[in-house]
Amino acid sequence: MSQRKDEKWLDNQLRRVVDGTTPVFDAEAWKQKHSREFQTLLRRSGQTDQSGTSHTVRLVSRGSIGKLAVAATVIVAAGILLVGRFGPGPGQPTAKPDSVGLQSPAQMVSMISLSAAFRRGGIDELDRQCDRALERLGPRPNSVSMQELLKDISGIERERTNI
Amino acid sequence: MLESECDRTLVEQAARGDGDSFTELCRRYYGSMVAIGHSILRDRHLAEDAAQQAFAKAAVSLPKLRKADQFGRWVAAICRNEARDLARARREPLPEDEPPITEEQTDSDESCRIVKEAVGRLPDEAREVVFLRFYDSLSYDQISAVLGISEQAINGRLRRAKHRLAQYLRRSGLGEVDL
Repeated sequence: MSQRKDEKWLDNQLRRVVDGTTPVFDAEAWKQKHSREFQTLLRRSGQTDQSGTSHTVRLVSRGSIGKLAVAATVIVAAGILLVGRFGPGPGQPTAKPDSVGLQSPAQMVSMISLSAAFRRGGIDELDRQCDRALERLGPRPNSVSMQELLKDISGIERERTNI
Repeated sequence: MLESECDRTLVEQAARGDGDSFTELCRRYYGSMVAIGHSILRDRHLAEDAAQQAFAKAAVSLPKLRKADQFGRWVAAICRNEARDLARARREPLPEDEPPITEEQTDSDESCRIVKEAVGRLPDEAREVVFLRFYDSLSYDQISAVLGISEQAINGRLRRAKHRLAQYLRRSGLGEVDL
């Protein structure tokens, strides 16, 4: 019994000890024995669409990269929305229309205002600034000369200052 | 037809409520699960109970499985827990899974008894790999699927287990085993 043995001998011994004749899975017996659990599994077949949606959500929320991507998308979307609603669009003049609207016609055609308008949008913005000043001043007959008009502008300016 | 499907496909179909896909997975892994249960409980019938109970839990918890291609590893972990729970619940010495010793006992039977004792003294992980390797018809692929390690790593683990066994057998007077 104490003679030298090799690995093959040990393997044979282990095979005897383990006695691992292949077990056969009896599916029907298992389903009967664990019918409650099996029914739980089967009930999921009616939830395909729902599980499809949740699967996508799960996929996204699974990894940290997915979560970061979602967070980044939300931030960018919110930024675009805010800029679109409150801020100037790309290439748009940065002037605040309200501040122009608060100015008197005299201020609107002053050198500073006109040069600022030119910087904002070039000759078109300058033209619009002048139009806004004339609109503010109100309708005038064609016969009114430029001199009278300028005088009138100054008058209104004075009136406003006096208020 | 389902026999040719990969685990991932079967798991995805089973998670959507396909019972046939799930029973195919059970068929595929039953042998490995019984081997794992047997290594812990050292009782074939209890090992089969543990394996079946593990599949029942897997059926309920399948949507929680994140990596569909790791079903084997996942269900093996459930099976180990089930087997350990069963072992604790019995609160009695593990059975000697062998016929009673008779007067006509041979050297071979004595060797088998000592080897069995040696296997019983192996650490859980080593004993598990011995059971998986020497259970009938379990390929390296199947063992790899439940342990989540490569064939090389399985062989390494098995070799270390055999060296421990050889040491025990030498101490028990059974003689040297050349490995």
